[in-house]
Amino acid sequence: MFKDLFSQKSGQSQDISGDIRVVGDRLSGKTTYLAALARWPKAGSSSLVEAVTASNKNGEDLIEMAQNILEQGEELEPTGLPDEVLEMKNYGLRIVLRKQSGDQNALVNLDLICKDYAGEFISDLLNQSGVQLQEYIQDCSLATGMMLMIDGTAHRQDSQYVRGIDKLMVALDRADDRARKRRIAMVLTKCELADLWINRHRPRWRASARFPKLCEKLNSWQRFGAWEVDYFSVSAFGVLGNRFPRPNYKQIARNRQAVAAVLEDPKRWRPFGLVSPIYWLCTGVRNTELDKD
Amino acid sequence: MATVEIHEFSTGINAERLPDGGWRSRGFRVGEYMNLTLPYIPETVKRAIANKRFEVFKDRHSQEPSFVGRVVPSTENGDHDWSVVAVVTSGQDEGGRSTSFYRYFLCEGGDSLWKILAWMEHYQQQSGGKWPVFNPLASKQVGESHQWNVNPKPKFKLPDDWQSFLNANQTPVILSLGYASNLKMINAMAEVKANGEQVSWAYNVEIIERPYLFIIIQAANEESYQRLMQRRQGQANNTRLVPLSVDEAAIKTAINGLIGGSQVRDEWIQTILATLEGNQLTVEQWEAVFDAQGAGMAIKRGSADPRMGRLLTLRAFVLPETLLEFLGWLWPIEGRKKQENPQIQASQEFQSKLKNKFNQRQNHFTDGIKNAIKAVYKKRIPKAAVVWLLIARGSIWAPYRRQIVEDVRTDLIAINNSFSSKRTPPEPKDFKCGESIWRDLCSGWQSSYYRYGAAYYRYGADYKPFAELFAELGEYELAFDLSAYFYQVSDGEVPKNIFKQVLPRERSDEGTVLGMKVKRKITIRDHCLRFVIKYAEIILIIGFLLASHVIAFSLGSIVGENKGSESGSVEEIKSETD
Repeated sequence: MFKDLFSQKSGQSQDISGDIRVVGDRLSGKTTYLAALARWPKAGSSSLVEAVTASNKNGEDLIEMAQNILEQGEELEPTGLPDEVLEMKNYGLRIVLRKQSGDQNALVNLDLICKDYAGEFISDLLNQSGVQLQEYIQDCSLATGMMLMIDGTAHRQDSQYVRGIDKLMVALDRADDRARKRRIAMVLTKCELADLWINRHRPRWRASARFPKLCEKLNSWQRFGAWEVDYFSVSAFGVLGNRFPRPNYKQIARNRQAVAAVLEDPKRWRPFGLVSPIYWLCTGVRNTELDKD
Repeated sequence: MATVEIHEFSTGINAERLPDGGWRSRGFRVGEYMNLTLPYIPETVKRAIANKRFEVFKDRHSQEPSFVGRVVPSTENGDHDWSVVAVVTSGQDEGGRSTSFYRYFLCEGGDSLWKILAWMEHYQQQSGGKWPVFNPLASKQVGESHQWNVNPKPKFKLPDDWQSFLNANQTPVILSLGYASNLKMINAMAEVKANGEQVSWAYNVEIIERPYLFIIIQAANEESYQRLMQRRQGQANNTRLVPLSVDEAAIKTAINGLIGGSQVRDEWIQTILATLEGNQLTVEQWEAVFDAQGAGMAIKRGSADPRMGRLLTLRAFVLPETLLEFLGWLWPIEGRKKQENPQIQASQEFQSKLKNKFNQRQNHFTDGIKNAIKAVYKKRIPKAAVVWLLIARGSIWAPYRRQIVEDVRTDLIAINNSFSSKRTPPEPKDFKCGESIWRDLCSGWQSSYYRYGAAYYRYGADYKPFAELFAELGEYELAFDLSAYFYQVSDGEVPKNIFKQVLPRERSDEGTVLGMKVKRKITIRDHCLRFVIKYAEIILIIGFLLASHVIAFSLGSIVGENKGSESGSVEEIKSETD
């Protein structure tokens, strides 16, 4: 796929596609991530991202929902896992990127289908429960890449995640007759939080430090040759300030486990790293420009 | 007094009991309901839920439940009607996120909503004003339905002004807060307004995505009323909205399944075929369903997503009128070559999986192909697109190319017969491929030269794309005669290879194909060859004479040279001796 990327002459737009599953524990920030991606703030001239647009009705709904949630302060509902896997929403988005070099008008279109699996998927995997688990695994096996969303602050769940992901990988391996290499992007979410923000440019190191068992498991699968793995940091909300940054969100509810939050200052919203894992999942090549602030 | 059973079930969640006696969600139980009092949920009710017939959105801070009442009709499978009331409340999970939770009550029969409401009212009175809302901590078992004694249905008389109000408003009637003072009243109003149709209403709701699916809606507050009115306005006279009677969720599931890239399941095919069979959706509604999946956007701006290639392939079958758009999308007139569009491969692989699955809808294929060949004639799509459609490996249209070849042949024979007998074209209705593509051809036939191999292209009949198309199809469906015919029409002559295929035993350069006098194309090489054959004797004699002259001349020169060199030697000897 990436060969095509370079075979095109400059000045022409080129199309790349990806069929991505977003998986992760409950409250790991999957839907918030997708909402932030869909509601991409007007990128500055230095940004590679030209635009994010919807390519189907669910994508339009996502953009509308994102606007309500992130900017108008309406709240996000937990994603329900529908009875039928095929009733799950597939968000169609097109991310238009400017090419780094050459013709300034040259664009890259990333045509994505993202399915936002409810967090219950992981617990169902762990318990091998849920009447539709096999259907979900079958659906997941059709994807070209998987985003494993890990709440950067949930390091206590490391052992549990290892068991869940291991089961998922084995199940996926068995579900697909074709021996093909898949990509899995381990994405640390909620990186607007202080410690994670400081190390946002070192996702591999941060992930290994916080989730050593999970990273070791992913690496061993990679050595096994079944998966390509890479690590990313993302922040849907971003931060306010430079030298003394603080997360750009305000809490709307809080309890022992988590906070529910919305953007504090939508006008100064600068999410971080949202497109980088997608680009890598689609092309197999990391675009370091997309990891910049 | 009769006893009825009122069953119930609720959204399936993992609930956590809180110290204050309340609860919060720790996640949904996927594909499961809880607190069921019947062994299984009736399929029709499940489908109604899947189609969001009970879906309402709750405000996080809303304390009062919303209510949705609806009669779910039976299907042809013999199940009976069910009356269902959903009580919807807002709740939270451990992340502080709020969502809607549903507790459904159902009673057999299409006229049982009032029974459920009477029971609920009784429950409320017994519980100090609390409604029977979602409660995951309650433990209901199968068989523990509510037994309720009902008297004959009470007459609920609506005041006269209500009646005229209902008559003056079209469905969905949106009521502002307080219009209907209770559930019984909104149910009675809905029964009046339904006028024999299935009753449906929503009471005390903040927002509903598709108000048109209800007869009466009472808003929870003024802001909701305004939003509902706006939404109703937006949906009024929208002919793209899928009607209430159609299982839209099943159609979407089928389309999603088919385009997802997995193996094709029979139930998906059956859903598509059944929807087509019953003419359940209009063309516009089908288009809306496909557009929701991204078809329109993919056509407009292209897409690298192979799902779109599959989606547009499926759409081209379901809506034959879109086949052209699909072919134009795969094969732009100008621009990329075949190998450069990966969607062609995506479509082809998908078609291989669909092989023989849609055979019973033959007209969808033949109608599409006829549209496509018309477009080739009008040069709206390249010939290569139709060739691909009809001969590509695994193509679901390929099995119907023979039919098209036959139809074209039949039309050409009809044209010949008609002009032979009465010198007029056939009646437009007699054409199998439609009259429009043969209009130019018939104009050519009107000419007095039309039967004698004149150059028909002079009459504006440029059927060269057909000539080339049928030449390529020739190997598969014996369509060389059609190719020859159209070459003759367009160029006034037929290429040798086609001519030989159609008239292999024809020794002359002319023949008759489908009533059309055709001439073989004669190239310069042919002319030379023929000249050689015709004047072979003279050429041989001239050649012989020429050759003998050349030989004689050559021999003479050689001899002369030899003599010259010999006499030169004598001179040299002489001078040396001197």
